[in-house]
Parts: sequence; structure tokens; C-alpha cells
Amino acid sequence: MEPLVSFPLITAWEFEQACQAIVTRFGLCGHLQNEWSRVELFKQDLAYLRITRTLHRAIDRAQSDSDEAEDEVHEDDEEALQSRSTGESEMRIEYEVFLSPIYQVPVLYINLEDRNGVVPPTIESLYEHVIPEQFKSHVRHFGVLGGITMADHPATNRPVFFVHPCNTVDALRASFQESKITSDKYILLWMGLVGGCAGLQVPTAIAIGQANSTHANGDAS
Amino acid sequence: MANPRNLSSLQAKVWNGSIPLEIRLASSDCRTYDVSDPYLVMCPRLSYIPLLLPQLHAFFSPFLIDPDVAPSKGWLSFEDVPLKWHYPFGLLFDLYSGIDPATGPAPNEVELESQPRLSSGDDSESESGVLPWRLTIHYTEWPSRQLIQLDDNGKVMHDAFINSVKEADFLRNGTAKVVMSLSKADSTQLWNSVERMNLKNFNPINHKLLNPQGSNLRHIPMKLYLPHAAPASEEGAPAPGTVRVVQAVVTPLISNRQPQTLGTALKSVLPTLFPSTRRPMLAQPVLHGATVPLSANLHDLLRAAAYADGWLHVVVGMM
Repeated sequence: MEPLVSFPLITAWEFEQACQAIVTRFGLCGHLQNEWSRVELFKQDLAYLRITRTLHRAIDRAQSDSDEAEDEVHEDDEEALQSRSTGESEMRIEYEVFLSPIYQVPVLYINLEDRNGVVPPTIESLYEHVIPEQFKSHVRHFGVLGGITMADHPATNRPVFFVHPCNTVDALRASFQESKITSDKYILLWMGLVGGCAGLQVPTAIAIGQANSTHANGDAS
Repeated sequence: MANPRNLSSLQAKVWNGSIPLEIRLASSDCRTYDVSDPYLVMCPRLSYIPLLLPQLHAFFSPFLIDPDVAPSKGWLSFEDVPLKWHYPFGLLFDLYSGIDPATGPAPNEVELESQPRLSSGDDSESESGVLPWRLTIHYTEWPSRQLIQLDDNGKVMHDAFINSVKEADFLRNGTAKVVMSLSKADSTQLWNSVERMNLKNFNPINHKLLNPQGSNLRHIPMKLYLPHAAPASEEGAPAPGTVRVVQAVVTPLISNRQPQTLGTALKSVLPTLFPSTRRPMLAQPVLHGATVPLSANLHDLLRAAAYADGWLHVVVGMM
């Protein structure tokens, strides 16, 4: 794989390579982890990567929000377990990675999908269910509302959350001093820097997996 | 480059532009069986929906089924299309009103026409003509697939505005450092001037943003809005009112020191819609309710006719 031509910026072609590399890694090592449930690469007008995580734990918390509900769980544990195992109340987090035409770096969009509508797609839900504890105060004190804010989705024009990309260039530059980086390593580096605050971590199995066996078809869709 | 005095008088006109609105309460939120009185207001084109919500709530609260609902739960729709609150009113109007800027009613016609309707409220009569722009306010059934919820303190709106300002700054200078290094007082003044539509307070801060020391203009912050175009999405049919937003990196000069015009920019970004750089053939650019000549110098246009967030939000209308 060729090194990026203008690190820390990434071109459209390099970006597609980088996304493909993640898909390939997932295809090879996806079965070794259960953090990510799906990885897809879309190549319409704009190429973008979607990583899906399913959260069960968060729904447990949402259910125990009111004391009443918690009591019920204790009294009638069997029923509570049943409703969880049917998977009715599962929340999906879709992380989508686009190339920003403004900043020329990848940008992370976050979409909350709760089939039962228990968790509304609000900034509060995001803080409660998605953002890891250690990042909360950092993310909150970044902008007016925090380092995560809302924007129109570049493909659907629907409202989604996204992580401010305005510091990404400086962060990438500061964390990689050498001159040459491949698009595969670049996207892993980017996820490490930007993803963490939104609960997107590269599962160890995928990070150490061999992405070099180039002919593996890792398309999960 | 155009005469600065012309540019600032054009900017003043843009800031003074307003749209007559006639806002009615959604019948599902209204406690009287019949419709309530409409709220009539001249709304600045550069303003935003959340800034109008407090007065709408004050007006409609006697009619509300739930009078305790927070003002921030209000959302506006036009012909069943929920209006994005982070788009300025002028952009929403240019996108959805269906008015043709080339043939739309002249300003004096509008005033005469809207006068009798103030008292009559006769719907059959008001079918004709686009103005006043008739919107509906809702306080329930927030369309969360289309709109992000607002908060009671106006922080969500403020944040969306500042984010837009940052993006524009990044495009102009290659960093967002200029806006991030504004003093607290300056950034407060910037947002307050937009809340109150006060150009005099806006311009000192805008001047700092547009003329940072030791930095030349790199790119023109411009977004193109294509109404009725399906977005490049993998999911089925587009919802009503779908808009495709196109953003491209546009430099102020095209090679050989020739300034970028609106026409050269449109031809490079949307070549199928703008095959000529001089003459609109299939589509025309609309900004602040006016068709903009393709020969307009883009840098001048930015200084005279940018929205308060520093962007040129240009609607591309089919001819």
C-alpha cells in the first residue's frame, strides 16, 4: 500500500482505500470479537464506511431509570429476562465515516437507532448511552455544547451527531511524526484519536489482524 | 473588486430583507375545534426559527391543549415538510416557497395583497399568491427523523450556529483558529447580534473573521442546495421536502489570476446543470430571494451577501 501523499490530509481515493482496509480486516477477524456487529462500505456519490454496534447494556440502564421499573425487575425476574432475550429493546449505534470536503480528513457521524423508541435520538441519550465516562467532561466543555454536535447527514440530509473535525488535522499531525503512513494505518490512527470520545474503539482482534492478505473478500453486507 | 461602499450597502439590504409569515397552530395541538388566530410577523431572512419560538409560544399558549409545553418544543412545517431550524428563514423560503424570483410579486404588490387577509382569514381567498408564507406550528409529534430536538436554553441552536461559523472560518483560512481565538466578549457579541439582527454590532466581529492577520482567503464557503433532488442515499424514496446539499472546495481565483465568478464555480461543481459559465441554461442560482447573475465575482458576493454564519447558501432552482 502506498503512503498518503499529503498527510495529515487524505484524498478521496486514499479514503476509499482506507475504508476498504477496515472492511477487509473485519472480514478476516470479525468473528473473533463481538464489539462490532457489521461493517459496510457504501460507494454511491460519496464513499463512506458504516460500523454498527448493538448495545444491550444501555437498554438495561434505560429500563432501570425509574425506581418503579427496577422493583418490577426484582419481583418478576423471569419476565424481565424474557423481554431482553427477545431482543426487542436493542439499541443500535451506527458510526459512519465520511471524508469531509471542508477539512479533508475523515469525519465521524453517529446515529442512534432504538427500534422501540425508548431512547430518543437526543444529545442527552448520546451522553447517557454512547460517550464513555472518561470523555464526558472533555467532550462537554469543547464547544458551546461539546465536541459532539449535530449536523445534516451528508448522504441522507437527516440530522445526526458528529464529532467536530476542526482539531483532527492537528491531532493527527501531533500523533504521527514520521513522514509515511499507509491509508490502512491512517484510518486506525484516526479512529484511535477521534472514535474514543464517541465510544468507537477498534476491537483488538481487528486492530492486530492481518489486513495484508489483500484478496480476502471482507464485505459484510 | 467592487467598491467597498457598494458592498456594504448591499450587505445592509441583505440584513434588512424579511419575509411576511402567517403562522397557524396545528389543529392537533389546538384546544378549540376551529383553528386559532394566525400569528403574523415580518421575519428577517437571516434569522432562525428558534429565535421566533418564544413569541410564538406566548401568542399561541391560550389555544394550546397542553399550555405547559415548553417553547422549545415548537417546530414549523410548510405543506407537511418539517423546516430545519438550523437553516436561516431566507434559505428555507428560497428552498420551499415555490416562488420564482424572476417573476415573483413585486414588494408593493405583496403589501397590498396581504392587507385584507389580516382580518379576513378567508382560506379560499388566500390560496392565490405565495405571500404571506403560510406555516404551521406544532408542539407535539416532534419529527425526530428530520429534526434534532432543541433545548430550553437555546444552546443547541447557538452550537449549530457556531459550528457553521467554524466551518466557514476553516474554509477561508485553512484553520478554525480565527474563530476559536475570538475573545469571549466577541463571540458573545457575534451571536447576540444575530439574535437581535443588529448589523452594527455584527460587523466589527465579522470584520475580524474576514480579515485575519497574515492570512489570505483560501476558499469561499459556499453550499449549494438542490430542492427535490433525491439524496445519494441507500434508503428508498426520499421524504417530502428532501434537499440535496452539495459542497465543494471553491477557490477565490481560478488559475491565471482570474477571479472566480459564480458561473465558473457552478460550472465546475455542477457541470450538467450549468454547462455555461455565463448564461443560465437549465438552472439558476438564487440567493436572498434574488437570481444572482453568473458573472458575479464570488469574493465580492461573499463579502456582501453571506449569511450571518459566513456562508453563501445558494439554492439551485430549475428553470
